[in-house]
Amino acid sequence: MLESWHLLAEGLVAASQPSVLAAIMVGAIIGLFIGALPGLGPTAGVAILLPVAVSFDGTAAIAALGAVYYGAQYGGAVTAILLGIPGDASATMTVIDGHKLARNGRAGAALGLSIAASFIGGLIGLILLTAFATTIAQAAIAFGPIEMTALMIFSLSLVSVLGGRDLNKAMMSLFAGLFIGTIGLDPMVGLPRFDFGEVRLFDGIEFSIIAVGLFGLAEMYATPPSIGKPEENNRFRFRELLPDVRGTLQCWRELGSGSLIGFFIGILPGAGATAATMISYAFAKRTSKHPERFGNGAMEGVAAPEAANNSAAYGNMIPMFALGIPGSGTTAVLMGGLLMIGLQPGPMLFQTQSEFVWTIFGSFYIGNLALVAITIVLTPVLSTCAFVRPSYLFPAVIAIIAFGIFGINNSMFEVALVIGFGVLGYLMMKLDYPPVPLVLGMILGPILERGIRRTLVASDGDVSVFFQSPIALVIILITVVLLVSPWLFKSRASKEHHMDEPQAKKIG
Amino acid sequence: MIPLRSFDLGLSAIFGLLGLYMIWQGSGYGYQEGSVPSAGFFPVWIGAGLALFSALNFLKVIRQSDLLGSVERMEVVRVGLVSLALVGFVLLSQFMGMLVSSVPLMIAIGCIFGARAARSIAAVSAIAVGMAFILYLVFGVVLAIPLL
Repeated sequence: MLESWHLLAEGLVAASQPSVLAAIMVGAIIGLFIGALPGLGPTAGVAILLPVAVSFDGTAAIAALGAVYYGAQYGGAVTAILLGIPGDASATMTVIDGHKLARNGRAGAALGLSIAASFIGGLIGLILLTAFATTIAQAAIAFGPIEMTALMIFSLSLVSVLGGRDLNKAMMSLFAGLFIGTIGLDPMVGLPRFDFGEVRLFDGIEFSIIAVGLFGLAEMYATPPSIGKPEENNRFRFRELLPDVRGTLQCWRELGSGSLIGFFIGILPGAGATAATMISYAFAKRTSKHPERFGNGAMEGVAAPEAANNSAAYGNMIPMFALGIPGSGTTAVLMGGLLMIGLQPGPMLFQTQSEFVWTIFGSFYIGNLALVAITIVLTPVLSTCAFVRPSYLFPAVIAIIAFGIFGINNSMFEVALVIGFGVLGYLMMKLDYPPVPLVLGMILGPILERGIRRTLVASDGDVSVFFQSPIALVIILITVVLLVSPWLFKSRASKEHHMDEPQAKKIG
Repeated sequence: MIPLRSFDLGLSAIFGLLGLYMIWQGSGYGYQEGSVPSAGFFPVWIGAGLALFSALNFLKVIRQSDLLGSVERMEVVRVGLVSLALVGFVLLSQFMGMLVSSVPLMIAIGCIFGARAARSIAAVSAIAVGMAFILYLVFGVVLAIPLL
């Protein structure tokens, strides 16, 4: 454990190099604006900037993308509080009390508290990330290909079960992603698969095309043009935007509980920041002496979800860095960035690229601290930004997307593919298909296929090898329970509903 | 308003057919060589999974017609128009170059997202020209990407 802190100190020094510092600052400011601008959230922001960022040096690129991620978490609260529109699903809980506070003339108190909560949540999340990541990675090194294959199947199942309201649709999304992952040359024998006679598909579909289409373009397609138009009572005076220090300090309990809940929920693949904010809000309300204040502009109602939101962002990174299994859309896009710069996330990353990992972790600390100052300074600008109309914003963002995607392989064919994935992403959003299982299926599919086929080649086709490892067996059993339980609960609930109906009729 | 149910049925049907195509094509790649899996092994299983869950969803949507709401016709038109504008950009870039083509693309998108008055269109046009210059600096000069 002590070694982790020593390595972190070295990482902090490495992250203080001018190029990395500049990347953090640029990423944090862009993220802040992306979070504050209506219609774009952290996942869309990281996805849109992915093709541009990977054109730069590897460490700086990932530091910048990370900064966009947590910067957008800070900025997301601005739209949620001032406009009452969550820039991202994870800011939904902040709207409830944050927007009420703003409407009551306490926008500054809510914004100041959201900055403090974001910082504290982020810091606690980072400390826990530093403490746990190496330990989990070291434990995972003992995992062989069989255990890793089982773990991957478990994670994909968990993401599908927890990631959407409809398991059927989540599974369809997952299998569609696995299909996309098979496009291109077969990883073992080199046979082209599903290329539809198109040589440009031999290398498969570039990850950023899927990410930008599903998260970036689709998000803009679904945004109504009326968003961002200022209402009369959504205008604030500068004095109203100044933070309330005493009110912030009084929320210390919610800041602590939100941070811890956020981190541990964030670790679970598929649960994500949104679930973390909801649970932390419910916990804060249940343990509060004045639960009646929640929903009517309670400071605690802003503190708990904002701390959880930011802490969950770092909890999310544990399975991505330590196991190579991203648990959310944004970490999936970040993992895509790592793969694009030639790094394979997973337990071996801490052994082979230790300096890189700790520099990135160091950059997170620096970025998190810098964002407090940057957000306070930029709050008046950000509050204006929240009213930028899509007719002015989206042309520029779509042009960046087109040029960024073209820049990856100098190919217009890939720009055309983005358009298709944008439409698919829009349809999925409207029809309630979660996009995260698709992205994870696409990333993990080829790794999973290699794992399964190599294991079966080594065992001469004997499937029972997957059940001979006790760890793999336990993971597979948990996966089966996980996949079967929603159907069991559903059929039980429907049986109870049918049994209740005659009784209800009798009573009626 | 367009009911989303028909879109859901359509998407399920497309995914279901894709699953069946994967099974057929995967079998063609070879499911097994001796006792070990071949190139078609994984696609066959994925295809089966995709076909199964798509069929289940298709049946569910058929049985429960009130599952999804509807979408405004204008929103669907907007998605179509933005996609068309981007396709136009892809085609125009071959002849006019990316930077020049990006200007009408941005103006078109601005108009699709609500810039109707002359003043708004003028503002979007100014943003488009300024943005084209920024794109040239970032992608053409800093990143040295050979733009079309």
